[in-house]
Amino acid sequence: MIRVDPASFVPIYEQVKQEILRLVATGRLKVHDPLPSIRDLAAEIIINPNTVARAYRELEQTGLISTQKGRGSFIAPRAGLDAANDRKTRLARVMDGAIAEARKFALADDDILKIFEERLSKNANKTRGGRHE
Amino acid sequence: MSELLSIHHLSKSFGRRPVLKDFDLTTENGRVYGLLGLNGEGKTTLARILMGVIPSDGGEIRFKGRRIGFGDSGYKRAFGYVPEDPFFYEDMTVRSLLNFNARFYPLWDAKKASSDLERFAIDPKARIRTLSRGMKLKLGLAVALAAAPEFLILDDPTSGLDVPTRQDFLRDVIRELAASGTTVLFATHLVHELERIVERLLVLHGGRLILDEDFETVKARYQASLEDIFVSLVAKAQGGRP
Repeated sequence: MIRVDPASFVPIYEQVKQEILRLVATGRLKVHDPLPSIRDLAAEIIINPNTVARAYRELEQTGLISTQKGRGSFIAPRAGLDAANDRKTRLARVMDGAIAEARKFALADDDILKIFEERLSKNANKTRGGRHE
Repeated sequence: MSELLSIHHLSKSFGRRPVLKDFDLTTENGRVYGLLGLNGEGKTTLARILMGVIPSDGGEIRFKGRRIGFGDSGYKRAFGYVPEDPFFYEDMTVRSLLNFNARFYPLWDAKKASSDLERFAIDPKARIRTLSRGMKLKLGLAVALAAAPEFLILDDPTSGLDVPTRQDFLRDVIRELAASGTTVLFATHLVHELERIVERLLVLHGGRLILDEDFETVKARYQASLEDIFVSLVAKAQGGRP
């Protein structure tokens, strides 16, 4: 589930953090789900256990995971909130790009809105699982 | 973190050829040191001096503050060593080899040795001569780990092994690190494996370290893979293009 590229110049502990956040954002890890132990994850993806420990420590400091002595680490409720915000931010970024394109073609705001609504209704039956926010 | 091993002004020549020249290194507890160097740069010479296989020409080695000299053996109980080609008495069985080694190490963990063998799928009754190179290496690791070393030297152990066997081996080293916090000096010329586990990067060139720095820092500065960093450092040291 968690993949890292050791040759990337992004530090490996940072990659582990991002991977865990990605799994939460895509719903594959949910609030209160357990994370693998440091030892297991390190052996599975073949990285230094201290690196996994650092990633967990930093996620814990920002309240995204919680660690209970003897029971392991879990996704904290805070991460679920962040994931929802994260999804919105990601979408906002895509839309910023679309708006910038529209401006290039000198489209008026009304036109942009109209096209957006048109696309929305055209894709209405394509939503997966009927998840709306 | 406390200082575990410190080496000062270590030198060694073979005939007229200096291999280590004024070599300095200090290691802290519980970290993984990756020693990179081209073939013939003295990685194995350093390991052999540390293990008391050959004497140095000069310099000082201290382990936990105590000076160690050629011929001392006490400190070796705290050292584990897995060379590229572990030497075993080929006619011994795996079990008799373990029993033989157990006598030299006060902290020998026989239970751990037999569970490691089982995990490695090595038959204790097998004669050592019948084991493949990968198996012998794993046996070498099991023997080194059963002695509960504080300082583990891996001298290019994975060169010449196929990728799955190498990954297996690394996994076992990682499990050991997670369990006991052993300090590791991993000498190699294969950078890909180091990239996954190294915390402190050491680059040996011209008989001394031309780099001794936290790997994350080096990586952030160079914004490159370990392979590129290594190539560029060696080129710079040779006075060539950066």
